[in-house]
Amino acid sequence: MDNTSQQQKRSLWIDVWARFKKNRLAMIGLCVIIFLYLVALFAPVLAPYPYDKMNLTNLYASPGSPGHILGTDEFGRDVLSRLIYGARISLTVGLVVVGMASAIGVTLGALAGYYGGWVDSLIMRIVDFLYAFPFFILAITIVAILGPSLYNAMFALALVSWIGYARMVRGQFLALKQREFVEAAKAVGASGFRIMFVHLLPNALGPVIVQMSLGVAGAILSASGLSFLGLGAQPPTAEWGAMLNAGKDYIRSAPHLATYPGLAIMITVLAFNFVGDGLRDALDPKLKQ
Amino acid sequence: MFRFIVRRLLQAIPTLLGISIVVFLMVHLAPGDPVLIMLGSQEQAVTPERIAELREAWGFNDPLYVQYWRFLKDALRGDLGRSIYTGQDVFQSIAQRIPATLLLTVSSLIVAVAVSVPIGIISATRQYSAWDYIGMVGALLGVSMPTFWFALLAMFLFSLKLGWLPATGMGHLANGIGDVIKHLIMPSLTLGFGMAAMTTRLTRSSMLDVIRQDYIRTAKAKGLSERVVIYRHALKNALIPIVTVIGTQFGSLLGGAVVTETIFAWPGMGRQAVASITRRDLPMIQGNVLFMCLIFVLVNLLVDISYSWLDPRIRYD
Repeated sequence: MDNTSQQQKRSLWIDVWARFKKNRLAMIGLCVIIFLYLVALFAPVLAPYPYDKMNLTNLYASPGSPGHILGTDEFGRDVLSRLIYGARISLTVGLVVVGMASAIGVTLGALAGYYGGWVDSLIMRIVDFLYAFPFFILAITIVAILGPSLYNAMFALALVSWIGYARMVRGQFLALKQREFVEAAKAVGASGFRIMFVHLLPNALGPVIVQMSLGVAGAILSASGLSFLGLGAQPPTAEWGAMLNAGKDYIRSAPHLATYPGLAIMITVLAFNFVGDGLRDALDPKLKQ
Repeated sequence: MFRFIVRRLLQAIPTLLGISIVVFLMVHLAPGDPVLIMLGSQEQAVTPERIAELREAWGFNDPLYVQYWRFLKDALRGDLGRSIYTGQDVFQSIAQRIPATLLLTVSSLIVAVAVSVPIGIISATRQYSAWDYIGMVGALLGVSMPTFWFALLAMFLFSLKLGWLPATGMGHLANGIGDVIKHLIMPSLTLGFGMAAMTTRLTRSSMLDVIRQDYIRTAKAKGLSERVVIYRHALKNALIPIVTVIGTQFGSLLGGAVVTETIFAWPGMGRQAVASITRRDLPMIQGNVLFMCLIFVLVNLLVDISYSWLDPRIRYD
C-alpha cells in the first residue's frame, strides 16, 4: 500500500512538473531564481569589491566608469558589489519570513481545521482579528515597538503573514477530513497528529506551495519597503531597499543609486511571482480553462 | 437595511476594542522603562527619584487594566496625549493630517478602479488575445514593482527632468484647487497603479467566472448585444469579489500611503507615523496607528454594507 501511494504521489508531481515546464514565463522565473541563489551563494567570489569598502576619492562614479560597471555610491562603495551582496539578504529574508509564517500558519490552520470546536473558534478569532489590521501598518507597528532592525522586520512580517496560511490550510482540512482515507486512517488507529501531518497535509500541500512562492515575493517587497523607510536593514548593510533609501537623496545628481536596487527588487519579486503563478496553473489545470 | 447597518456597526465594536488594546500595550511591550520611553530625549537629565515620582504621577504603578481603562476613556474623549518630540497634542496633529491621507488614498483608489476594471474586463472578454497577454504581464509587473521605486523614478522623470509636476508637498488651497491637484497627480498615480495591478488580475478572473454562467448564455441567446450582456448582466455580479478586495486592499493602500507620503513629503498620517517611529515618539505612533486602523475598519464596514446593494441576497439576519 505504501508503495502505490508513493508511486501516485510521485506521478502527481511529475505531472505538475510536466505542465510547469510548458509555461514559458514560469520557467524564466525559475531560471532567474536559480541564478540569483547562485549569485548570493558565491557573492564573495563574484563581487569585485567588499560591499562595505569605501573609497572617498571616487564618490558618485557613474555607471560604466573604470573598475565600477554600475558606478559607486555616496561613500565610494561599488554599487555592483553591494547589489550582489544584497541578493543574499533579500533571498534570506524571503525564505525566513515565509518559513516562519508558513510553519505557524500551517500548524494552527491544521489544528483548527482538524479539531474544530473551541480550538477552531479560538484560532480563527485571532486570525479574523489580525485581518482587521492593515498588513503593512501592523508590521510597522511591531517594528516600532521592537526597534528598527532587519531581524525585527523579518519577525514582524512573519507575525502578520501567517494568517493567510492558517485560513487556507483550515479550509483544505475541513474539506479533506470528510474523505474516506481519513476514516480509514482513524480505523487503523492512527493518532490525530499522524492523520494531520502524514495523511491530510500532503493532500493540502498544493495551494500552500503556491502561496509560499507568492509569499516570498511579497516578503521581499515588504521587507525592502521597511528598509526603505529606515525600519529594516540598517547601514552599512547592503540591502536593496536600504540602498534605495540612501540613494533617494542623490536622485538629482546620481540617479543610478536609486535605479539599480529597485530593478534588482523588481526582477527578484517578478521571478517568484512567475513561478507562483506557474505552479498554480500546473497544480490545478482546471483553473486555467 | 437600517437594522443590518446597525448590526454591522455593533459588530465592529469588539474589533475596535481589540485594536485599542494592542495600541495601548505598545508602550508596555516596548523594551525599556515606559517612563523613560515617555520622557524621550529628556531622560538623561532625570534622577531616579524623579522617575519614581513620574511613574506614580503618570499612573504606571496602577494595574494594567486600570491603565487601559484610563487610556480608553481619554481616547474616546479625543485625548491621546502629547507628542514627546514636539509637545503637540496628538489628537489635534492627527486631525490636521487625516484630510491629506484621505485625499491621497481615495484618489489612488479611484485611479486603481479606473485603470483596473476596464483592463480586467477587456482581458476577460478577449481571453488569450494579445490584449489579455499585455494586460496580465503589465499587471504582474505592477505587482512586482516596489511602489517607492516607481515613485522615485516618476519623480526623477516628471519633476527633475521634465519639470512638469512639483516633486514634493501638497500645495496650498490658497493658490487655487489646481495647485493641490498638481501636487496630487504623482502620489496618487504611483500609489493607485500598485493597487490597480492587483485588482486587474482579480477583475479578470471574476469576470471569467461570471461570463461562463448559464444566465449569461441565456442573455446572449435571447439576442442581447455583447455590450449589454457584459455591462448590465456580467459586471454587476463580477463586482462582488472586486468590492471585497477593494476593501481589504484599502489596508495596503494605507500601508502604501506611508511609503508614498514619505517620498513625496505629503503631509499625511503615514509620514507622521514614520517620523515618530524614528524618533521613538510613542504617543504619536499610538495615535497614528490607532487612526489608520480605525479608517480601515470603517472602510470594510462600508464594503460590507455595499454588498447588500450589489446583491440583495447577501443580507445577514
